[in-house]
Order: sequence, then structure tokens, then C-alpha cells
Amino acid sequence: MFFSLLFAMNLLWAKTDVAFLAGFNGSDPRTANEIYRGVDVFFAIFPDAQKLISVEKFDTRSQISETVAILQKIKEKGIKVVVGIHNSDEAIAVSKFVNANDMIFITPFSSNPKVTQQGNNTFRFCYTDDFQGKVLARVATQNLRKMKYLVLTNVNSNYANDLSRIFKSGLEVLRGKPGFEVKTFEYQPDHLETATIVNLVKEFKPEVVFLPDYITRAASIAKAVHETDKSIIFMGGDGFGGKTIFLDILGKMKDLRVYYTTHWTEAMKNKTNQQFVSKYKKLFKNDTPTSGASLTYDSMVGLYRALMALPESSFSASNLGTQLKKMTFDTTVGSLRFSDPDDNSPRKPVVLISFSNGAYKVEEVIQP
Amino acid sequence: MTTQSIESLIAKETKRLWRVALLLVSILYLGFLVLIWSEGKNAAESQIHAWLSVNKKALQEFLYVENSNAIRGILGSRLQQQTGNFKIQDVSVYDQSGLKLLGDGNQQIDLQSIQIANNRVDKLGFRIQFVDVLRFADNIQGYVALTAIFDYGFVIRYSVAMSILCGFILGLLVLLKNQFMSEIGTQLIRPIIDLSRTVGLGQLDEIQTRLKDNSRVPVAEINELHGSFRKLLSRISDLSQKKEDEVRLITAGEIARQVAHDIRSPLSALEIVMETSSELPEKKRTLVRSAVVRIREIANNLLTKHVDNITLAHGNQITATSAGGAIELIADEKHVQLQTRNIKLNHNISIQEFGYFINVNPIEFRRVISNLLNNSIEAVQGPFGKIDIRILESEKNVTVEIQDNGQGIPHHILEQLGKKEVSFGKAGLESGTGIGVLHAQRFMDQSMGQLKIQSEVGQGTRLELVFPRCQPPAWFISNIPLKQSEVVIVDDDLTVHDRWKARLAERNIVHHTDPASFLRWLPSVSIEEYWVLMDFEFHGSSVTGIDCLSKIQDRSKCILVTNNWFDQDVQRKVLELKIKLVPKIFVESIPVS
Repeated sequence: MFFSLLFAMNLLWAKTDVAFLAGFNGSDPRTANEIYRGVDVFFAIFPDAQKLISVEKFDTRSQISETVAILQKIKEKGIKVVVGIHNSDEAIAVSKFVNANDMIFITPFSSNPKVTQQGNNTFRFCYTDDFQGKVLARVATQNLRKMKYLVLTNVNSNYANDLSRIFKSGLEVLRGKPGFEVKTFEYQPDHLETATIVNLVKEFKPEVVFLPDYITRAASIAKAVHETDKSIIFMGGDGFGGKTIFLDILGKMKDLRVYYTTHWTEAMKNKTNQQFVSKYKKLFKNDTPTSGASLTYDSMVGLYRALMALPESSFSASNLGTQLKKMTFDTTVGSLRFSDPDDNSPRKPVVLISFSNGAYKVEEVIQP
Repeated sequence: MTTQSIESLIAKETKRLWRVALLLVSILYLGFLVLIWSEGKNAAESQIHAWLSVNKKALQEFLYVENSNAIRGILGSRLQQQTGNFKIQDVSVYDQSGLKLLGDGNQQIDLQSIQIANNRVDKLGFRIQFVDVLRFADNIQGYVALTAIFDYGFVIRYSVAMSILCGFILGLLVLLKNQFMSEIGTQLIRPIIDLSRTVGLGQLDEIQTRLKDNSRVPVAEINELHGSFRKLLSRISDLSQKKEDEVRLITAGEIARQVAHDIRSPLSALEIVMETSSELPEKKRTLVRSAVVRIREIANNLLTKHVDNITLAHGNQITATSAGGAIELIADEKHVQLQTRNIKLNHNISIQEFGYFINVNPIEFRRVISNLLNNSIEAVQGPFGKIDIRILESEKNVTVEIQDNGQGIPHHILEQLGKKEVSFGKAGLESGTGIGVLHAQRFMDQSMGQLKIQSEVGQGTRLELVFPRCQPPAWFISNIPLKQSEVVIVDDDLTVHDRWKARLAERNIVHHTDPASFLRWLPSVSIEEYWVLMDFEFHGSSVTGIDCLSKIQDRSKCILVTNNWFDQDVQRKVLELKIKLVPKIFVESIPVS
């Protein structure tokens, strides 16, 4: 008890400021607010953590330049730990900045491989698009067994570019088989003309449209394409979000068929997940928990554990990073470890979701 | 200097102008291309700047997050491939180390120069390299380099257009040149050639006719040339006519001289007979002598006329001339002419009137008076024909007045007299050449005088020739101041001796009828005490009166009394010797004191 108290006192004296960045007033404020709920759940489950961690919210407006400007302010304030960001391009910018300024960045939700490639000070608590893209390609080729694919890529998004690239790479197993065709159309969201895509769909007549964009932007394209050809199956990555947001945006089209991957599902029965779901529902009046909140929760718990594990008065970005890489974390989707010495990306399972005939269903949890 | 035609000169100058035109067109051509190039360059720069201004933030952001696809999308779709007259050749993105992230070209970036400039580098020319630094988060994150090359297709298009334009201009110049040459040929060269051919014709009349025909030419200078040629031809015509007259006069003079010469021998023989023939009664002898004298005078007149004509042909000396003396000479001539006609010519000239001198060409003056008298003679008809010649004088002028009672001159003829060749002859018929009055008018103009003509048809005509008066020559003497001096008279004409004797009855007079006698006598006397009245020409002697007087030292009392007073040589010699001169006609009238 004495040691615990002494430990707690030490922590009190060495409270760590954490900047939480998200586009609260950006292109997808709903997701931003959702992932921040993970922080609330974390402090609800670990109330003592407030003595060790102080979290300040920053609104990036989903703009890279704004994100970098905020990072400058954070740096000037002396904050060394950055958490958040649900957009891969912003996450890459943050990663680049923190690695150049001796800071630590923990992203719960950014799956683009480039995020962690900027340096050792960046950690993610989700899988990468490499894994996600391969899973989706495998589902398309082996489960759905479709031959004609139209890949619509938001060229301004690294997330979309890389996920498209990995997905198309996975489709190469069909190369040479009769009827196999892949067509790519790159669009700029600022100059999006759905009519062009609709015409392309009419002309190409794809069986599957791969749409690796965030759900708010993907929804408008999916709606237009679906109205053109209702037989088309849509596939996407974790940008389609959790169940709640998906059903709110795309779930209204009852005859829509969608297969997409996500990071988390409420259905997982492990203790940590049960504790998270229970606390989340308690905090947010029986709202359905989301993968974003769960990943943020996992991230905050990981940060908390690492800070607690750090020797007395030895906090630094590099020490924290080293500590994170040493530890194994118990997350909502199971244990997590940064085992790759060159990339701080964990090996985590992919949850495959299907939406068909108005039914939202966890088809499979695919282990890496 | 080689002679060239106008056409070749113009062609030569045209070639020079042509070269200048080609040079100007070339300069215009190049200038236009430079202008287009400059405009195109400015437009391209402007467009590139605008493009970068709009897309710089996005480029910075995408470069920061290493979204090459997004950058490629911006470069591919947003930047127009055709920027003015420059074509975008390559757009590349480099990271901060200069490593090329995007772009297909092999363009290299001089990072050193970029860092020095610390912002933007523009290299302009036929190739534009535009490099913009993508600065983000206080760090240079990379560079976007845009390379544009001049659109050579555009150059060719404009070159073709300019070539067509220049060709059009040159073609227009050729047309203008041809038109100019044609105009020059028609308006200038052709009239000059025509003029040259016309002038080259042999006959003056034909030339004048042609020139009148060609008088209306469009070029003022050539028209003026026509006028000058016409004046020249008129002058040539006048001179030609004058020359013909001179030749005729000279010819006539030669004949007259020959006649005068030939007649002297038989006349001398007749005089010898007269001197030796004492059987003839005095009255008859006087008559014969008078006839001989008259014949001699006629011969002298012929010689005088001959001398006049020769002088007229070869000289035009203006000298102080006795108006009265000249009229007396002419009147003597006209007496012979009037002997067969019932016309009275009144011309009583006194020694005072002889002393009215005017500055004229004496021969011309006599000719004018003669012609005018001829006119009057021709105009007078009927049994009471009369011509009065008078000399009037004033302080400044001497006026010769010729008045006849002939038929008069009609008014319309009178207006034209003196202006062109026209006359009004006797009995209303055209006569002569009509140059009498015209010649008189020109003579008066040359002599600073005035010719006044008053005439009334049926009443007669009065001519007034008003001359400025001049001082008499030194040889003139209006009276002989004999005083107490004695007189010696040397003359081969005995009647002259008689006339002097009659006038100097109370004087002691020494008479010599030949120069030899005089010269023998001269050394024996003190000649300063004598007034010497010496004839000029002695019958049968080559010694003249001037030769004799030249032997005298003090010639202040020497007077040459001769009918040859009008001879210019005589007048020149008496002036040289400071001798006085008295016409022989005034022997009986010259005052003697």
C-alpha cells in the first residue's frame, strides 16, 4: 500500500500531458467524437489515470495544414505525447512531425502503412492496410468469386491510394482467368462528378465496386452507383466505420450489398472487451460502442501502462517508445504486441462485416 | 561620270528602296515574333503563377503526407497542358534532399540556386523552368519544378502567318513599284523622250508646232521645260531672223562698198576733166561740180551705209550720239528717195540741235529713224505729202518728233504696234515685215527711252522718241571763238573755201586744198595763232586731215570739218587728239565769234 501510494505520488509529480487530435469540425466529426469516447471510457475505467495523464483536445478540422499548425502549438507547449487522428493522411503528417520533434504519436485508427514508416516514435493500435487489403481481396476472389472489378480511388487520400493498390495486388491471383477485368478510376473529392462514375459503371458493368474511402464520401458514390445497377456488390475498408455509423449512412439502402472490414466488434467475448462495452453503454446511455472508441480505449490503456512502467523521472519520447515496444497489451480484440522491430504496427485480427438485405452481420474475425 | 537614263536611275534607287523595304519587313517579322514570344512568355508565366497560387497549399499538404497520387492528380488534371504559347513539358516534385518524387522528365534541379534564392527560381527563355519551394512547418519539404518549352508549332504557325503577311506587303510593294514605274514612264520619261525627239527635229517651225501640240503635259516641271524651249526657240527664231538680216545687210553693204569704190575712179577722172576744162561756163561748171559732189556724197552714203551695216553686224556700241546729226544724215538719204515722189521732208537741223546728244547705238538709232521715216513715207500719199522732223530738248530729255500727214493708223492696229510684228502700210495694204515699230520699241526700251505714237486715220501720225539727254562728247563745239586769231582752211572742196570765206570775210584766211600744201606751209608759221579748219578726206591723197592735224603740237584751235563726222573711227581719233569736230553741213551756220 505504501509503495502504491508512493508510486502514485511519483506519478502525480510527473503528470504527462497528452494532446488528443481529431477533426471534430472536419469532414467526419461523428467519427472524431466517437473515437474520443474511448478516452472517456478509459478514464471511467481507470480513474487514477487522471493523476498521471492529462488529455487536451485539439480540432484539426480534418486539414493537414491545420494539423501541422496545431502540432506547432503543441510543441511550443511542451506536450510530448499525441493521440488520436482517424484519417491516415493527417496521421502521416502528425507522424512526420513528431518524429522530427522528439515526440510520441499513438494513433488508434490510422491503418495506412506510411504512418508508422515515418519513424520509431509513431505507434498504431490497429491493423495496417496491408493486412486489411489482402483480406478484402481474398474475400472478393475466394468467397464472392467475382471477376469484374471497378476500383474507385480518392486520389487525394493516401488511405485510398494504398488500400486500392493492395486490393488490386490481391486480385492478381485471378489474372489470366476468363472474364477477369479490373478498371481503376481515380477521382478528386474536390471535383467529384458522380455522373462520370455512373457512366463508367454503365459502360464497364462491374460486379464489384471497391470503394476505399471514408464513409461520408463513399456513401454518395455508392448511392449513385447502386441506383445505376443494384446488382453491384460494394466493398470497402475500415473507412466505412462501425455499425452505428454504417447503418445510419449506408444502411438505409436495404437492398445494398456491402462487404467491408473493421477493427472491432461488440461480439467479442474477452474480458477487456466486455468491460469496455459495459462501461461505454453506461457512459453513453446504451449507445452502441464503435470500433473507433474501442481502439482509442486500447491506445489510452497502452499509453497508461507504458507510462506506469517507465522508471521514475525517466520520461522522454524515446523512453516511452522503447517501453511501448517492450510490452504486451490486453486489448478489446485480444493481446497486442509491437513485435516488428522496424514498424510499430501490431498484428491484429480483421473483422469482416457484411450488409445484405438490410442485415448488418459480422461474417468473420480473421486472424493475421 | 557615266550617263544613265532616268529609268535606270529610278530602277537603281528602287533596288535600294527595295533592300530597305526587305530589311524593314524582316525587322517587322522578327519584331512580331519577339512580341508574340514575349506575350506568350508573360501569359505562360502568369498562368503558371496563378496555377501554383491556387494549388500550392494542396501540393504542400500532399507532399507533406507523401501522397504522390494526389499530386499527380493535381498536376495531371488541374494544370492545363497548354499554357499560352508554352507547352508544359514536365512537372516534377522533389523532396527536400532533391530526390525526385514525381515527374517523368529528366529535369535536374539546381538546389544550390534554390537555397540561395530561398524561394523561387525562374529561368526564362525558350525553356521556362519554374521552381517553387514547398515550405511547410518551418521546414523546406520539397520542391515543385515546372518546365515549359516554347511551342514550336506555334512558332511555325505564326511564321507562316507572318510570311503570308510579309509576302502580301512585299507583293503590295511590287504592285506599287510597278504602278510607280508605269506612272513615271507615262508622266515623266515619255514626255521627256517626246520633247527630246521634238527638239531634235531640224525645222524650227515644226518644233514650235509640236511644242504647242505638246504644251499640255501633266508634269509641271516638264510643262515648264516646254515653255522654256518655246521661249528659247522664239529667241533662236529672232536671232536667226536677225542673222539673216545681218547677212543680207552685209551682202548689200559689200555691194555698196564695191559700187562706191568702183565709182570713185571714174568720178576722179571726171573731176580732173572738170579742173582742166576751163572752157565750160561757170554756171555749167558749178552744176557739174555740184553733180560730181552729189555723186561723191552718194558714194560716201553708200560707204556710210556699208560701215553702218558692218558695225550693225559686228558691234553694238552705245555712245554719245548727236540726235540732230543722225537725223540730218538720214534725211539726206531720204531726199534722194523722195525726189520721185511729191513728199516734202522738213528737217532743218541747227548746230544747237546737233548738240543734243543721247546715249544710244548710233547705227541702230539711224536705222530706227530710217525705218520710221520709211513708214511715214509709205503712209503719205497725195500731192501734199509732208513729213516734219524736229528735235526738241528739255533739261533731261531729247525728243525726236516725226510727224506725217499720211493716212493714219487705225486704233486696233495702233494698240498692237510695238507689241508684235504688225504694220499698216500705204493705201491700207499690208506692207513690209512690220518690224519697224517693233524694232523701234525694243530699241527705245534698250535705250531707256519712250516711244509715243499718236495717230488719227485720215489725219496722220506723230511719233515721239524721247531719250534721256547726255553730255556732248569732248569733240563737240557749238561755236568757234575765233577772237583775233587767223584762220587756215584745208579742204579739197573749193565751195567749202568759198562758204568759209563768205562767213569770215574780214578775217585773214589761208587756204590749202590739199594736205601736202598744208604740211609744207605748216613749218613756216606759228600755227598756235591760227584756227585750223581741216577737211578729213582729200581727193587723190591718202593723207587725211587727222594725219595733218597730228603734226600740230597744240591742237586746241584745230577743228576737223568733215562730212565723215559720223564715222566712229573719226570720232575716236579726234577724241584721242583732242580735236574739235564740226559737220561740214554746219559750215554756214555754226556761230563764229
